Amino acid sequence: MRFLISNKNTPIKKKFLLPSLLYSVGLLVIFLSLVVFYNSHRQSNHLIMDLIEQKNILSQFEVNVVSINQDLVQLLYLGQQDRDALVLANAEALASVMVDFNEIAYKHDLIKDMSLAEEIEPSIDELRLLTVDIVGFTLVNNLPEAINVYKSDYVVTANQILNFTDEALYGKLDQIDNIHEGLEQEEQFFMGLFLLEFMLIFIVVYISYVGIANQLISPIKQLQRAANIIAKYISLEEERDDYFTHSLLALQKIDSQDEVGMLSNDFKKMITSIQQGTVEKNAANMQLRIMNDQLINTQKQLLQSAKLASIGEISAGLAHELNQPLGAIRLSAQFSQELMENPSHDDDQVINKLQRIISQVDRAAKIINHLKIFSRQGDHEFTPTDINWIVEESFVLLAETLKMASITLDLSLAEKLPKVYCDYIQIEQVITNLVTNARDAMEKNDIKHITVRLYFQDDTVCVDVEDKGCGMSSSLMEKIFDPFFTTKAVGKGTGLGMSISYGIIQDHGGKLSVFSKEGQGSCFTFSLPIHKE
Amino acid sequence: MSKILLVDDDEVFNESLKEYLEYKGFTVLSAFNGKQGLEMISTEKPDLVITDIVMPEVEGIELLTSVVIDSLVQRPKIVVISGGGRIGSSNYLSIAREIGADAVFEKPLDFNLLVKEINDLLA
Repeated sequence: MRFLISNKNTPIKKKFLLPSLLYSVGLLVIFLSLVVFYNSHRQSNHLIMDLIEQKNILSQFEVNVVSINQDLVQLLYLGQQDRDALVLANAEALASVMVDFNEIAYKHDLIKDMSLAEEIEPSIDELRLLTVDIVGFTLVNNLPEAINVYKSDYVVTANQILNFTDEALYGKLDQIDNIHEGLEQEEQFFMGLFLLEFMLIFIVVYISYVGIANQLISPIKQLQRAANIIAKYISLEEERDDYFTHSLLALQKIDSQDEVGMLSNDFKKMITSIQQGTVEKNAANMQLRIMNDQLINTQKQLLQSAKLASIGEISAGLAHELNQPLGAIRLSAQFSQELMENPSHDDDQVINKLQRIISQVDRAAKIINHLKIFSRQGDHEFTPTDINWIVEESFVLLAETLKMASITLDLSLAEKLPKVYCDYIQIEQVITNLVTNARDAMEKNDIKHITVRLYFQDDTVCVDVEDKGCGMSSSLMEKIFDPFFTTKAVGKGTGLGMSISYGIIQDHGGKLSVFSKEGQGSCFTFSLPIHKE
Repeated sequence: MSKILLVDDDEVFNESLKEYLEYKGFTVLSAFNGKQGLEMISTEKPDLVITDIVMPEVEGIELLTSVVIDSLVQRPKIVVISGGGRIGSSNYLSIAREIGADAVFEKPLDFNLLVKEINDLLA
């Protein structure tokens, strides 16, 4: 019962009142029709019972009349004495039959059939009188004569009565048939009526329910549309204002004041607050994006600074490396000049010196170009590259710095290595960092040796940079990749080389790790995933 | 004819200087690292050694030190040429001069001056 009590008189509940009322009225009409049908049927049945009773009385009456008639005819064949006695008895019996008949006839509804009563009554009276006459005449004269005198009258009268009763009997039967026919028609009529009423109730109630459903469904559909638009927006995160406007437009089409209307109002409020929240979120996002851009810029600058710092680390070697060709050029130029000043000079000798100048200029240019590419600012392209080539290129700039530090290098390249997808400048930066780090670790060593080893392992290409330097304690090893961590003297290292190398390798989907023993040396290994086409 | 030993690991420079000095009338021998240079000093007994500083195996300062210590009585004249090093070429050269180099030059150098210096030292 609780559901009937709670939230009473809500708009949607009210909408269901009319169809419920219509349904009740329809049921009432059917009930009334049933009552009418039942009454009419009962009356007809009463009438039929009456008629059957009347018919039975008439039949009995006919039997009595015929019996009296037969008795009278029998008289003709009896002896005198018997005849007398019989007539007497017959007259008495006849009289009593008449009395009975009268009583029965009058008692029952026969009397209602006035015409029949009027027609039969004189005939009965006449028959009675005739019987009395026959009795009287028989007593005075003799019976055969009496019969001769009265027989024909008697027969005529009796037949007259029988004719009347027969007629009445047939009339009653016809009446019964008529009533039966009427009953059948009535039944058919009521059956039709009931069917019609049921159909009418169904149609009226169905239409009113459909009307209510439509009133409820159309705003719900709009609400569903608005919700769908918002759901789509939340997954897309694009054209957000457009989506909000569309969603609100869909909601404006709802004009119902019922619970659905209230729900749509709440939904409108929700969208508006989401929209507002989105605006705030967008602003925050924008701010975040700006800060992120700044961070990325700073990061790029840091990478560039670190790269320049690593060039600084090898700059002395570079200067020496450049001075070699420059020295040779200077010498060859001077030599050529002196040769030319001698009138008997050999042209081939001069040409030989000039060729040497050209080759030494190319040698210097190669170093400078490499330095230019290495120090170029900005993003470089990721390309599938053979790491052997990167390592060899790295030593264009590194070879001299190792030579100056009296470090021997064992460079063990690996043939047929799969390519790695990388920015080769960044990988060169890592190699430069690792090699200069190894160089510095061996500053106080007598034997100075670096091994650079390339190999293929577990679907990755690995590069070892191993030194026989001072090594590291395990506590140092834990911090080696931390930014700003350095063991070098103030002003000698930024403390960023290792952490930046670590970041670069991680960006390439690889790993940079170290194995070290204090006093025995360190081995840094980086691995890069192979390029799969 | 004066015998000069040239110690420089840069083959092109070594070859170029050798040709030039020969053109100037000297007998020139080449060594390409300090170790080879030291060996040739003892076997060939050159009048003058021109050496680079930054070299593999035994480098120029070491070579100079060995020559100065080992040949107290009679040693070849030593000219040091440097293309620069980790602490700057002028620093190396002043160290070399302190140890006992007879002349020092910085790459790239004026070879007229070098020849003049050689002639002065061998005179």
